[in-house]
Amino acid sequence: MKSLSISVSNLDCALCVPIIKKSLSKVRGVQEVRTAVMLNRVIVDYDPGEADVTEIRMAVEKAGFKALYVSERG
Amino acid sequence: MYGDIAKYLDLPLATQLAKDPVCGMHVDEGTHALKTTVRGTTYYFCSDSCIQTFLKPELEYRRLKYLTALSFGLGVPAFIFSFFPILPILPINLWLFLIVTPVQFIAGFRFYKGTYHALRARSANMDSLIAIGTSAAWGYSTLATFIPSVFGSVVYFDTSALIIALITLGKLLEYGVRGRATDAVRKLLELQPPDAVIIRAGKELSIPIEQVQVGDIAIVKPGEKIPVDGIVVEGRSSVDEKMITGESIPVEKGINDKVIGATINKTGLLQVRASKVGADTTLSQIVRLVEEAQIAKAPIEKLVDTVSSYFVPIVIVVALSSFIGWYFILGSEFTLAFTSFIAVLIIACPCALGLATPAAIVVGTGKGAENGILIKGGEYLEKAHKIQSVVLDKTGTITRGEPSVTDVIAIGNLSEDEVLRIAASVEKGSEHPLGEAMVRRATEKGLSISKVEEFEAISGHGVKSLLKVGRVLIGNQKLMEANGINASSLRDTIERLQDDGKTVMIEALNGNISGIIAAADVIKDSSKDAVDEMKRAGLEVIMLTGDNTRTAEAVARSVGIDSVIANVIPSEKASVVKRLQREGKIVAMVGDGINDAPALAQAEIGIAIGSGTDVAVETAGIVLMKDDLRDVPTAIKLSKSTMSKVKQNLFWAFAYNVGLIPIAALGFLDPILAAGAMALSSVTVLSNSLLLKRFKTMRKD
Repeated sequence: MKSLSISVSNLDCALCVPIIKKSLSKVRGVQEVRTAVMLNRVIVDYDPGEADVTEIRMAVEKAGFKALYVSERG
Repeated sequence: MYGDIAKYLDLPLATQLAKDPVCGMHVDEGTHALKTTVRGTTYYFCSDSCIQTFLKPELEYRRLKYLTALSFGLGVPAFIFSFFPILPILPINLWLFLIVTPVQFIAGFRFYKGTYHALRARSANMDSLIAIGTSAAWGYSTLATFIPSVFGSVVYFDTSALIIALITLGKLLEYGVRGRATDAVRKLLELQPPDAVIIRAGKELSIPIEQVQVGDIAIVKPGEKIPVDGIVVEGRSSVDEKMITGESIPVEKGINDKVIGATINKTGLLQVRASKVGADTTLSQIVRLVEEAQIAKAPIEKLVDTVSSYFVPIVIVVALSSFIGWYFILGSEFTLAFTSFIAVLIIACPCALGLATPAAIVVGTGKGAENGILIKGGEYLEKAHKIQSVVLDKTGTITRGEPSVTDVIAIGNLSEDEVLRIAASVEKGSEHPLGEAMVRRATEKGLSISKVEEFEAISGHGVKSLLKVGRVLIGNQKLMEANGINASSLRDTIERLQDDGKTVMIEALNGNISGIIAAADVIKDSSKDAVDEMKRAGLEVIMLTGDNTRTAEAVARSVGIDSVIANVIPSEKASVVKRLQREGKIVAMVGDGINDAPALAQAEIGIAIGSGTDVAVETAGIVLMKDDLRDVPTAIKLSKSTMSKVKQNLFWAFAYNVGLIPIAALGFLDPILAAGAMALSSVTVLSNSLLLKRFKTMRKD
């Protein structure tokens, strides 16, 4: 399992959280989605065999958010 | 992939492959011109769009500024002209329509977009509430402008424009305050030096930090940052570790000493062998831990999140009921009913409510990290502020955890210093803690250590050695007996020292006893202050130790602890904690995290002290970087301050977001004022959290 940290510029309000979570959890292979509203960040745990970075990024964008910076967490 | 092809085609291998931080693609640093440097780090990009995306936060801020200016620039005149309809040629409502419509759809576009995405996720958010409220105002006014025969001539254009203006302004203000709230994390990231000077093939080479490998020797000049965690292999210097451990006094470092990446080499040239690089360095671990603390949700925050998810539908129902109640049931004027409807929608955005907890936690944990106190999440903050009893492990927590020389007694005609000097000479190079203690003491006293000509360690007894001055024996009574030396005349002295919990070593020179050296695990200078501080804060302080009652009580007395639990073997520490919990106490366990991990895990909150470079103490909820017990009361006090900020924030957020709903529904709140309150609510919560930055640690130095 791998983990991505995505900086999302407009993830800034508690009401956005369920929306981004819903969109990301639809991606196959995504296992856990955690958010930090103060850091404008979403952490996605996923199975690299099933999902890839581009798909996850797309899911963030599709939910109406701007994925600014994607980095892998060890 | 490229590497394989390159090898096959005999092309030059791309040595520098950077990762595009936006899309994650690997980019050849050599051939790609698309790069930008932010805070000393150069980033490479695969395409123009990636670089644009990366730079967007700044653009976003600028855009918010333009939109705020636009919406106020048009909204304020619209407001004025609504009261003083002095514009010529066209009817006033048409003028207002022309002035306000760009605000509605340019500055207000973000709300429509947000609503669209929320709807697609079958959800609603703050954007939805604002979009519904302002569209209702704008839409009704537009109908009134063009079909006044049906809708009358009263318009609400200024209302919609000023709501958008105020909310955009609120976002803009929030942007700045947010940045300050999270700057502790950013400052940590900025501590990382971008590159390192290392020796490869006998040459000094400056390379990016990511390429430093374990085993590389880095050269660190005075005034420069040590690039990664490592061990000094050459040189001597004092190192400023404040940024990592919170310790304000520079630490002396010599050969074989551990150094931490990102600390500053002050005085001498150092050569450091890298031992931890990349994600393993202390700094990376701290950054991760601090981030993790903010991602992990505090229980109180989960509750708020649940409430928020039901918020929007409830608010829409309340707003509609308010309209229906006023207009259809009470038969009031349309304006009153309509403005109450809008005011309810606008006031109810629960953003401040959602920020109340994380904002305080971000500032509180950031403040902790600046002082070498790492709190692993809101959950622990919540627990720490409820603590009633603090259990301190004796060894390594109250005491240094390693022996120090306490007594040197000369027997015969040598001076005390000479006794110590001989012992230190023999033990030089010893790895035994007692030997190290003697060498350390002699070095502190500036005694010159002489060369050993022969050396033999006798397990369980001591050492035999040959120096220029003669044959030396250092060890216990058995060693003396085995070598035919009678130590019985010293029995009283030895027993007295042993009763104080000291370890006694006898030194003999050329077959005659020359002295006694005693060592003990001494109490840290700061321990008494720390205990006093905890007692002042109303905490019960308990000492836990494997020592016998007599020794334990001597230590406890000297630091001012009243309750002692002695004779506890390491494996039983956890059950002692459990027993205290069964008595109804909320317990914090403080230990070094090595022998007492189960006890740390058993306690409501485990506090690992002086873990130094090992940040990842799994069982601890709070990790103290410094070996200073005073950080325990500081951590508890910081938790209390942070939790009280959370509560204040929740109070304000509820007052704004919930308390004002009935007032708005009853028609006492103008929608423009509602927007002002809404814009202020998040800023209030964030600014209130920023006050935590003023938190003072209780260090006296």
